[in-house]
Amino acid sequence: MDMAEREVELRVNGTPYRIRIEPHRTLLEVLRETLHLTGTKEGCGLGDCGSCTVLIDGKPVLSCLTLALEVGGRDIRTIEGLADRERLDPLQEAFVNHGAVQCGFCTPGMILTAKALLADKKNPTDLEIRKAIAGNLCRCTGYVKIVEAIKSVAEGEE
Amino acid sequence: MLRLTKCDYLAAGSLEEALSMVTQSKGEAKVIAGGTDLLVKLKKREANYKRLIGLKGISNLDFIVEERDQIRLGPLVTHDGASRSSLLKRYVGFLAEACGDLGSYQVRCMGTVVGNVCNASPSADSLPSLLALDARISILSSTGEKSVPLDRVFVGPFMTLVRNDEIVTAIEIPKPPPESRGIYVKMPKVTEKDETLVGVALLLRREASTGKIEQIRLGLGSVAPTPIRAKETESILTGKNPEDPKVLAQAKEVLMKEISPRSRAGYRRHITGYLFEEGLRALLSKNS
Amino acid sequence: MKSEGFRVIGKGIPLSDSREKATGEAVYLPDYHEEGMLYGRILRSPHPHAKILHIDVSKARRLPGVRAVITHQDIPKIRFGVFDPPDKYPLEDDKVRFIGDEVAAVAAIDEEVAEEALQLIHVDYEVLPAVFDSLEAMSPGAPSIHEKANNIGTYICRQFGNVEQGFKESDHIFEDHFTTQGVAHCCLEPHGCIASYRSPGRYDFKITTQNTPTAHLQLAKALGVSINQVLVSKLKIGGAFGGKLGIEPVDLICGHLARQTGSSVKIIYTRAEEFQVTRIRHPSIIELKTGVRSDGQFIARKAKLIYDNGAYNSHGPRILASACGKFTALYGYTPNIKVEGYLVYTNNPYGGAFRGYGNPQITFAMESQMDMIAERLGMDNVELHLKNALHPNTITNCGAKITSCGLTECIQDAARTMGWKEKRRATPYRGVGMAVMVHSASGSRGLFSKGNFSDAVVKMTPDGGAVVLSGACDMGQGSDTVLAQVAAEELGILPRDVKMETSRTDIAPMDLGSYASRVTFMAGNAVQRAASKVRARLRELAGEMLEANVSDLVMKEGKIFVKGSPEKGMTVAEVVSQAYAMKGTLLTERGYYVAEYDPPDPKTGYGTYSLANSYACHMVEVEVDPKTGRWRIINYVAAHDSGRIINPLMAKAQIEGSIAQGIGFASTEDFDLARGKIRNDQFLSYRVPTPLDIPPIQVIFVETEDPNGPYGAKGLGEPGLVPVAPAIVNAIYHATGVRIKDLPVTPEKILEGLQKKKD
Repeated sequence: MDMAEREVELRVNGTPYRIRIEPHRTLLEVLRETLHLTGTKEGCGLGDCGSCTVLIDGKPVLSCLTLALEVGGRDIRTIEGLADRERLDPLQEAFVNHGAVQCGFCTPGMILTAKALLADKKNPTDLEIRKAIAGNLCRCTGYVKIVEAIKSVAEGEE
Repeated sequence: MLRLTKCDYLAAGSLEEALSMVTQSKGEAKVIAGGTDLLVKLKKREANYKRLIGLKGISNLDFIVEERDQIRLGPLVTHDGASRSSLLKRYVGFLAEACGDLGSYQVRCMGTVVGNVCNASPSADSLPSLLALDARISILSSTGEKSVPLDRVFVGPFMTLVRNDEIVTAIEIPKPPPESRGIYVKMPKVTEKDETLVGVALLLRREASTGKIEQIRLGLGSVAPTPIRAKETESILTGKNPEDPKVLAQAKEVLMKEISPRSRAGYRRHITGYLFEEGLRALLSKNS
Repeated sequence: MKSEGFRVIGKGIPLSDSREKATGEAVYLPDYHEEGMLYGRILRSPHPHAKILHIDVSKARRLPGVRAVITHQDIPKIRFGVFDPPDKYPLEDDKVRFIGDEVAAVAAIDEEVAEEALQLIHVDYEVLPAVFDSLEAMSPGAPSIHEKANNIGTYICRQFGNVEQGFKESDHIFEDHFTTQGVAHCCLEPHGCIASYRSPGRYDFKITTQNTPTAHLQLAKALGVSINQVLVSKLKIGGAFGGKLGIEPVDLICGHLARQTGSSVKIIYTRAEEFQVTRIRHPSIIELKTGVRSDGQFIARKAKLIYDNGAYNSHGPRILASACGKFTALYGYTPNIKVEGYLVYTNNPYGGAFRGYGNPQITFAMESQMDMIAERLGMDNVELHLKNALHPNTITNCGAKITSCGLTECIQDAARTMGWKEKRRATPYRGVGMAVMVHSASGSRGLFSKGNFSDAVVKMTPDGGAVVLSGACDMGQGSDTVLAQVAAEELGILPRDVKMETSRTDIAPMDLGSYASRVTFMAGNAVQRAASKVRARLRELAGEMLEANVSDLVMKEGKIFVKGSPEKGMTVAEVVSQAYAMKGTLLTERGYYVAEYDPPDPKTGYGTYSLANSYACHMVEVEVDPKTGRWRIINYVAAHDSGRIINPLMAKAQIEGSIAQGIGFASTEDFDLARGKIRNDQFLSYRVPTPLDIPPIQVIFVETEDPNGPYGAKGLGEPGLVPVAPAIVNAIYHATGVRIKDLPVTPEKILEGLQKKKD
C-alpha cells in the first residue's frame, strides 16, 4: 500500500516546520529523520523507557507512541529547544554539575520529564521526583545524582 | 527504528463523523484516542489496520461534568486530567488517585480513561475502581446511543463488547452517597513501579448506628481474564460487621473462589486476600 | 581523603562531555546520518538448534529498493571471536545454534524495504533436538552443539595444597549449592554498526564498542584483509557495561554489505533484538565445599562452577577463568584450595562480558556461605571476615601478589557507618547483611596479547592546551575525563584545556580496551608518563626563557613562574608558542606502560593475574514484610578501596550505578526463557530497577595508595556490582531466617521460606 504523503505544520522549539510526511510516521521518526533533531532518542520504541520523551504543550509525552499528524499546531519542545543559545536551562546545568550525566542517552528525555514536573510542582518531595521520572529508565546512574540535580533546581540552588 | 506498518490516518471532526468513518471502513479502521495501547499493538504487529481515525482533533471531548446523580467523562479525558479534576477528587477521590498513580507520568498525560476501558487490560489500574463505582459507558452506533454497565463490558482479556463500528462517547460514574468510602490498593509485579500484580478497589458504606456493612463493592484487577466485580464476596459481606475477623475470614474464602489468576497464581491469591484485608482496614479507619 | 597538594587529581568534576549530552548535541551511532546511506536488517533463526538446508534469497534480491542480500556464501569463511579457535561465523553456514542466530542480511534504501525483504527470504531448516539446561547438556546423549565432548567448551582445574586432606583436618564442613540467573545489559542505546567500503579495499567502521583497537584487529582478521585496510572509530556510546566489548556479528555483516553495495550501511538493533540476541551474564550453578576450624580459620575450600555458555563462546572461557581466579583469590591464604570450572554449551542465548566478568556469580556463592559459616561458628560476620581478609604486601597461597589492599578498612568503615553492631541485634523483620569482594583493578593479560599494556601520546598546542592520544575508549563511564585530569595535573593546566582523542584506530595508539576496570590504572599510567615527559620539557624551556633554575619553577593553572615571584612567569601558551616559533621544538611525548609481573603458570594457575586489585565491603539494611514477602532496602553502605580516587564525583556515580545493576541482578531481573526464546523481550516485562527501587546509598572510599597506579589510583568500573547480591541475601536472612541460594530473590521465595520455618 503506498500511502500518499500529507502536509502538516509542526511547531518545534518555537519554529514552524511545514513538512510532508506519510500518515503512519510517529513524531519520533519525524523529529529524528525529517527534521534531523537527533537529541530525542529511541531506546525501545514501545513506550517503556522514556528516552523519546518530548514536551507537548508543557506535558511529557512519548514521541515514539505519538502520530506526527496528530500534533500539528501544538507546542512541541525537544531537548534542543531548552537552552537559550549559550545559556543552559537550570535543569541542564544541574544535571551537568551534579554528575547526573554518564552515558547521556537517557538524559534528554529525563531532563524534559523533570522540566514538566517542576512546572507542575514547585517543590516536589524525593518520592514525587522518583515517581515522576519512573517512566525514564537509566542504566548508568542508579538515579541518585539525577534526583539530586532535580531537587537542587526545585530548591532554587541553580 | 521501530515503525508502524503503512496505514492511513483521518482526523475526525466529530464523534458522529468518526463513527461514520469507522463504519464505512468495514473493520479495516480503528479509532485512536490517546494511542498508547494501540500504537504498541501495531508496532508489535499484533494488530493491523488500513486506517486510523483520530479523535484528538475534536474539541470539547475532554469534559468532566457534574450531573445531578453522576459525573460524566468524555473520551479524551486523560488519566492525568482525571487525577487533577476537583470534581473527581471530591466525589470519587480513590478513582482520581488511582488515575494519578498508574503507568508513568508520560503515559498518564497521553492515555485516556475511556481508552483504558476499551483496551480492557485485565491489569489496568483504573478499571477496578470504575467497576466498584458501578460506572457505565455510553456507546454510539449507527442505530443510536446506549448505556452499558461496565461490569458487562469486559468479555475477555483485551476484549470488550464494544464493536468495531461503535464508539464510546462517555463514562458515567454514579455519585456514591456521601457516607461511602473508597480505596484502591495494588501490588506491583516486580519493581516498585510496575504493571499491577493484583489490584483491589473497595467502596464501602456502613450503617450509621450499627457500623454494619450497608453496601460494599469490590472491584479486582489482574486476577481473572478481565477486571471483575467480586459479587459473591460483596453479598456475603452485606449486613455484616466488617470488624469481625470471622466475617473477614469467610469473605476471603468466598473471594478466593471468585478469582482465577493464571501466572503466579498461588502468590496472587495470597496477595488478593492481603490487599482485601488491608484495603478494608484502611477504609474502616478513614474518618471523613 | 588524602590530598597531597594535587590540583586536579582528587577533584570531583562532571564528565567533560556532559554539556553536549544535556543539550542533545552528542552524536550516538543511531544519530549518525550520511547521504546515500543504506539500511540493513538481519534474518535470524527462529529455531534454537537446526541444520540450514537451503537459503533462497532470490525473491528478496529482486525487491525494488534492495541493494544486497547476503548469506554465508557471499562472505569469506572466517570465524571470529576472542579465543582460539573462534566458534562463530557472522552468518552461519550449516547450523544455527540459538534463537536469533544470524542467517542472512539485507541492505536496502530504507529500513522498511529491508524488513520487507527479510520476509521474502526463505530458509529450509531441519530442526534438531535442542538442550537448554547445562547439566543436561553435559550428560550423555545430549545434542552436540559444537562437536565438543559433553558440550563442555572449556574446563579449568586449579589446585593448591590438598583439599581432601584439608577437609579431614577441619572442625566444620559446609556444603552448599547456589544458582544465579542470566541477566541482560539493558544499555539504553542498542547495538549497531555503520560500515562503509571504498575501493580498493578500505573499510571504515563506526561501531558501538568499548575497545576500538582490539575490535580493529578482530575485524581485519575476520574480513580477511590486512589491518591497515580497516579503520575503526566510535561515536558517543549509550551504555556498554561489557556488552559492547569486541565485535559482534552485526559489525562484520555490515562490513560485508558495505563491500557488496559500495555504500555505507547502517544497522541498528531493535530492543527486542537487544534482549534476544546480544550477550547476557552467564547463568551459573555453583557448589561450594568449605572446611573451617572452629576459630574461623579456613582449612580447605573447594568449588565447582558450571557456567551456561549458551550457543557460542564470546568471552566465556576468560570469564570462567576469571571466576575461578576470584575463588582462589578472595580467601587466598587458605592452605588448600581447589576450583573446577565448566563452561557448557547449550542452545540458549549466549553469554558474554558483563560488569564483573564472572565474579558476581561466584562472589554471591562465597559470601552467602560466609554468612552461614559465621552463624554456625557463633561468630559475627564482620569478625569472620576480618579474620580471613587479604592484607597488603602479601602473597596468597595461589601465588597472587597483593600490593595495596584496604579490605580491612573497608569492612571496618562500612561497619561503623552502617551501625553494624547495633543493627545485628534482632529486630523482627529488619536485618543487615554484608559481603566483600576482590576484583581486578588494572586488568590482566590482554585479549590478543601476551601482556597488559597501554600506549599514549601527549602533545602541546600553542594555545597552552594539550592533546592526548590514547587507545582507551570512553563508553560513557568517563575515562576521557579521568585521563584529561591526569594530563592536566602533570601539565599544570585545566582539564577543560585537554583534548582527548581516543577512538580512531588510525590515530590512537594501542590500548587493550575499557574492560576489567583497567583504564584508570593502565591508560592513566601511560598518559601520566607521557605528560610528565612533556612537563619536564616545558620546565626546561621555561627555565631557559625565564633564565631561572628549573627547580625554582612552579606550574599552576596554565602558568609557569618562579617560586615566590609570580610576576616572573609566562603562560604555558607563551612557552609553547615561543618554543615552536623560535626553537622549532617538538612538545610531543610518548608514554608507555606495561604491567610488569610474572604471569600465572599456564598449567597450574599459580601466580598473579592482576597487578592491582580493588576491594570492597557492602552492607545492606533491609526491612521485609512477612505478609507479602516484599522487602525494601532501607540503607546501603558501600566501602571501596580503589586506591586514590581521581574524580570522587564520578567515582561515586559509578558505584551508585553498579549498585543499581546489582539490585537488578539480585532481585528484579530475570529472563522468561522458554526453550531458548526470551519471552520478556521488552522493558515492560524485563524489569530493571526504577528510581523507586534504589535506596539511599552511602559510598566510602578507602584511599590506599597503590604503588603501581597513577597517583596511587586503581580501577573501579566493576567492583560496585560484585558484592550486591550476597549482601542483600544475607540481610534478608538476618531479617527473616530465610536463606535464598537461587537468585533472583522474589517475594514468593521469601514467603515459602517463612512458611517452611513455621512448619
